[in-house]
Amino acid sequence: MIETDILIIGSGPGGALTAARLAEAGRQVIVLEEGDWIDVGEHEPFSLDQMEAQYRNAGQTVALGRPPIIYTEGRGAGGGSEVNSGLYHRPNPELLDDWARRFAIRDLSERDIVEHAREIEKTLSIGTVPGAVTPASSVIERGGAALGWATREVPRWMVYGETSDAAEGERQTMTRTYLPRAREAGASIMTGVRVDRLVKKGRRIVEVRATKRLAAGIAEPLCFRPEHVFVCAGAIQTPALLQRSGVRTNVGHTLAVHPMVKAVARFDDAINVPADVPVHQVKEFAPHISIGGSASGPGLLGLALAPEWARFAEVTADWEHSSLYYAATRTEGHGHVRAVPFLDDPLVTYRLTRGDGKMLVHALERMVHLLFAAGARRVYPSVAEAVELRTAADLTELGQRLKPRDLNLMTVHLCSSVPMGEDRSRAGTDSFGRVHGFDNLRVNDASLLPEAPGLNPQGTIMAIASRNSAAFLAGTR
Amino acid sequence: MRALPERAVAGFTDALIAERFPFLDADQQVSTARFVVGRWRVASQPVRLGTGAVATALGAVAWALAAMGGSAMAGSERAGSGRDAAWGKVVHRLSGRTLPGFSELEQFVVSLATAYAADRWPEAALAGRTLGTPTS
Amino acid sequence: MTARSTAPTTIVTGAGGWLGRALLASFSGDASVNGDQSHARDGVLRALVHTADEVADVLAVAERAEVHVGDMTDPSVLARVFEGTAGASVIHAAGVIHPKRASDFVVNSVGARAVVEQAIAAGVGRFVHVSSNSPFGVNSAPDDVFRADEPYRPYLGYGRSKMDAELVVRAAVDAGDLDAVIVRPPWFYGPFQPERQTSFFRLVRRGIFPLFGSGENRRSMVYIGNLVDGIVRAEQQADATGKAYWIADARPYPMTEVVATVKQALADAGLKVSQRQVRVPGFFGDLAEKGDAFLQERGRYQQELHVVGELNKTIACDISAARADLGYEPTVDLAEGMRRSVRWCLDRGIEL
Repeated sequence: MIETDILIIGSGPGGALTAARLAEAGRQVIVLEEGDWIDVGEHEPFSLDQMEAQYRNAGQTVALGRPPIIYTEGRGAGGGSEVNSGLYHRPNPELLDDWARRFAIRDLSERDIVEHAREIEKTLSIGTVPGAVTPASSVIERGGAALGWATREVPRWMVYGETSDAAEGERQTMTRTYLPRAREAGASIMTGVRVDRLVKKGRRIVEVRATKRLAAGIAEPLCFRPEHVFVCAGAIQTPALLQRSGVRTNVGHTLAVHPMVKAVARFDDAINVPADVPVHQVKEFAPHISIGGSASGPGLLGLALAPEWARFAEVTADWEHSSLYYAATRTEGHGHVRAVPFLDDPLVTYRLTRGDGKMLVHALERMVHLLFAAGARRVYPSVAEAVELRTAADLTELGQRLKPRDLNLMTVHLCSSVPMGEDRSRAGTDSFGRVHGFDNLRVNDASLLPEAPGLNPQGTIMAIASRNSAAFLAGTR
Repeated sequence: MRALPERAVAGFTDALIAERFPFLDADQQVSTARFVVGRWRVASQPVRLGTGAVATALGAVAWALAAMGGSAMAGSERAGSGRDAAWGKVVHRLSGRTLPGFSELEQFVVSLATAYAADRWPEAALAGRTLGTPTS
Repeated sequence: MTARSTAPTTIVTGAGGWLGRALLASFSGDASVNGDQSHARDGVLRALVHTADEVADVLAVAERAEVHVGDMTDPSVLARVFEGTAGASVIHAAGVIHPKRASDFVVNSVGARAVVEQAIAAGVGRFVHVSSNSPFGVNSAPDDVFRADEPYRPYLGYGRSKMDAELVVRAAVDAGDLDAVIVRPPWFYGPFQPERQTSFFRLVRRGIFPLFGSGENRRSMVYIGNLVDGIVRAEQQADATGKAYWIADARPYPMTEVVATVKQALADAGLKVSQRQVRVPGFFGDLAEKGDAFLQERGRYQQELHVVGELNKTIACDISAARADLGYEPTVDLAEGMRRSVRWCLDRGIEL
């Protein structure tokens, strides 16, 4: 039995930041992380190896529905921050006000958030590329300029040299920033520990049961007795753990994602930089539609063309000329996370509405329009029956017959599965992440966002986690 | 000894890769199939249970075909190659059809195999175009 | 912004229609169409109408117009219209919106091709092609707006025919043969309104024009005078060749606001207006859309079904490109425009 003041479950952006804040305030903190500690650079970014080592289930996870949505979750110390594109948006003030009003969330204005955001931006070295962006990124800028659509370079958590180009930055993940800070302030970070269940008694969590993986096939049970528990396991694992522990009210029924449609665009010039992603995004249609670039190694190009890879073999054969782009949307529909007895992994489903489907098709059409305007010679949308588009007329023809269920959808932004707010009929936690009905159980990760924000969410997740940590400290000191 | 669903997925994967990726040489096919089954083994349980159940059902058909073929050949060939041939028949018959369950399993294998093969041998599919690939 | 001086001859196709008559009235000095001033101009006004019974309507608004009668797809008719018109301005406003058969939509693109060919042969100056929102379909969110440059997503037969017409014009510009600008108006309203708009007023007055769902879906609309203004600017703006512009009122209106404003305009004119308001579930609009598509695939066209199919949709556009490039500024808004429309009807003894 291990006694502790604070137990944090999960070490991604929410958990790592919470650990640093609480440890630096002098609290005794233990962080439990199911995966391993893997230093930045051990695996080639956006490679199949990295996917196997640093994603949950090696990326083989899917939200069932028509169409299904493939999703990926980071796993390991630092969670998603270790593997994502590193694009940072400060929380949008209008969106925060809108959330505060519609979901009855206290103290969520820009004023309540901005100092937290500033500190995060400093710690993560948020900045733009001093040198050249990648050619694949320039494609987005060029297409936007040709169409009169607003684009912008999104800053990243990267440390660059004075004249570094985009691919030369050093990514400032949690294992390089908040986790070392937490450790320095006395926090203990235990990797290879999976939490099985929280044991509740009245309004308190009295015990946390976990399993420590020692070697392949060998494990030992661990038991913690914390004063306070923070569940920061991400928008899928957080509700799954709460449900396994019998905490079910407004938990796991409002999962929100940004489904993405993708397309390969082929150019006359070499544009592909496999180890980096474009930093430009089309902001013209925000928050409904965001268009940007994805990791584009030859394997990922092939994947976007599957099952017709062989028909378009030249795309991977001279892969330097092609890159992958995405259009992401918000949805009216939402998903469910359900813990299933006797299974470790939850069942995830997602229902898109008719309107969501139309929005996705529209988003795809706008993305392809942009790519042609940027000079693409061929565009291959990732749809059930892959096609080669050569002209605007080909796009029109595809748009007329394309059904939403024919889209190959995936997502990397998962949130809102335990939403915060004072309206107990739909919020899982109070305005600061304390689970309704509990005194010492809190959620502090992407699950809290009341909706998918329509932009890369890590900045918003961290700012809210920082605000909640401060509120916790103020209330329990 | 591997569990039944995994053996079924492996049998199906070997046959489907032979059917859909004829332009990969034998070694490439083996290594691609190994990758696919490796990823299946760590996939999330709902994915594994669904695809494993469909593969097991197909495996039962392949087993029955092999048994019938085996008796016709009066046991002159090794059971293993008879099963491979039976898997080949099952996959050839069904590949590219839209069948609930089967389509998802096929998509799972083809997607992973494509990602792996395109990553390792980006030019491999060029040969596939001249060979002509099976149309769905 | 550099404006060019008015051409010696102005050709208007579709001259007997709603827009055609408004243009010719303004060109002839009628200030009531626009905000406050007309676009009176010297020179020859040449008008093409489809049938002989439109001639009187045209002459009523533009006494000096030379009116030609005939089919815009007929080269011999067009040869007469374009005779001796080097350097002329052309405003191609002819089109079929609600035909008897779906196959008749093709007139829009075939007509555009014929007119463009004759215009090129005659060596005309600026060619303003009047298009529509329908090549772009419907917006995918109630607060989405179509930008100046968007992918084509044609809405059924009319949308496809208007898209094909735009493509004909664009091809002529790309080949360097024609100095054309495309103008895209959404739903218009205002003086010279046809019977279909009058029956819209009647239904609203009686409270039986249906609102679908919440009625919060938005429609861009354009007061006919604002549209005339935008077209003249497109005609006269030198460096706009090959561009396409949305010409609409300053902002899209929620359907609830459209209906409420029409009711208010009718009441302001002293008419008794019903307090009730018929509302139907939004999916009836989708059903109508499906029915419309089903009929059109079979070559049939049913106007009411088509109109109802669009009623629960958002069709909204962004006029910022027209503002920036053409200096276009809509001066009449929905409330004022609807008041003028009602007055126009009452002045002519049209029963509302």
